[in-house]
Amino acid sequence: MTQLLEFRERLRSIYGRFDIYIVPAIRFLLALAAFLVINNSLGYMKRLANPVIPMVLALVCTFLPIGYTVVLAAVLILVHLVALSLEVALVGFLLFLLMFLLYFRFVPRGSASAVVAPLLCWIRIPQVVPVAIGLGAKLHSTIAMACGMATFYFLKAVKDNETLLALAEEEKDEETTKFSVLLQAFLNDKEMYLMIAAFVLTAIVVHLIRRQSVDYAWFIAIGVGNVLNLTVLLGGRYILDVKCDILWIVLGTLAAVVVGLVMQFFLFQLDYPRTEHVQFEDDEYYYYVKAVPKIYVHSKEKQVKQINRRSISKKELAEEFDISQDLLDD
Amino acid sequence: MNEERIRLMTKLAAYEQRKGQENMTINQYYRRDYVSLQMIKTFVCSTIAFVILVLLYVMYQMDELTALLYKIDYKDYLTKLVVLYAVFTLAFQMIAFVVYSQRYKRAHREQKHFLNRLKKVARLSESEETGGPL
Repeated sequence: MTQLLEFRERLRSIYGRFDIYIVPAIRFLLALAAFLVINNSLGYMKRLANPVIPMVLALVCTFLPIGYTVVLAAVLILVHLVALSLEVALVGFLLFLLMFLLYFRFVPRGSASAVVAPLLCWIRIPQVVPVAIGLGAKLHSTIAMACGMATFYFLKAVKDNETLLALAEEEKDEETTKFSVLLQAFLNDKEMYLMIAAFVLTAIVVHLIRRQSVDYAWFIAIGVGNVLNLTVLLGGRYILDVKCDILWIVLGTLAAVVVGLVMQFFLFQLDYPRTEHVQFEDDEYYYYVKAVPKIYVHSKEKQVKQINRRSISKKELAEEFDISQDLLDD
Repeated sequence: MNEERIRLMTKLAAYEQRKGQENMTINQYYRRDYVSLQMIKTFVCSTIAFVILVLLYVMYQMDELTALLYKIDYKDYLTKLVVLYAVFTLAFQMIAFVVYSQRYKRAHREQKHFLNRLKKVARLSESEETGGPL
């Protein structure tokens, strides 16, 4: 444990020294991952297939707040949708505008979860997001997460119906319009509602528990949150007859536990056996204070002591002692 | 070099870089003016959002739109739409009131803190120049 704590302190000191490079690097990687995933999963605009374009866009995002990554990702999605069909692009534009008007206008910061949530949906472990939000972010980030997930399921609806949506107006069945095909596929997707409801609930529960002053609150929050998430997802899968893979639900929950524990290790290490309870009063209040010391270990500073003697020539020795070199000869 | 002054100046510079500009803009208004202005903006935004929602609903129902147009009771439909619009905008007005009142309070508090620190820095520089006690 001590070694782990030392490792943590070493990482912290590295972060403290190089955060000017680390934060932009994380922003770059996040933006690059988002743009590559969009290009890879949509890919309707062939001109954007060149990997240099996502690289350049990600480089631009490196020096800007995370909100710009969200905007650029939305623009990239719309460009691909225009190449597929103008009607689909119009629906996409209206959805993004709705999200902007109803949420991102109020909270321009803290929109990272709008990018991270669809990315983790894509690698099929989205359960990590609500636990991470509950442990380390403000609660309104759950709305950004919900927006990100809605975007993911909208793109899934596009992908699932792309053959029909790509058809020209005269080629297709007169009975249906592209608008209704797309919106019905998107809005009737029970999996989306199940995922969003489960994740919002999990984030709120994790957030509420970890703020309690009970011992091991973060551990309890991680445990209860993940059990709740698993229960809601499995129960919802059965009740709503949603076809999501149980294996991925379990794997996602395990990933969420691991991420939760890592976050707990870095952000909240308390020494509960050394808890102190003190009471005092002033004119207006009586105070019952519980003080829990943080676990802190100084990282060992390695000192290299040279114990082997530097070989010294007779000439240098003679000069040092101010004697004749002949005296040192055998 | 006065360490305390440098520490304070670093904090001031960090604040100015992060939130200074935003808070300064907010503090140009009286609380009532700021919150009212933001609520008007929110009203416009929520109206546009409501129109978009109606538009998406029409698109969703587009296949049965012709049949619906013959079937529906326009008066009843319009009343429902107006009630929904009122509830929708009212909800957002309330959210805007809470969010922007809090934001104003926070900006005011932080700006006050900033000015206090600024005064302290000025005092420290003055005493350094005169060589007198703080």
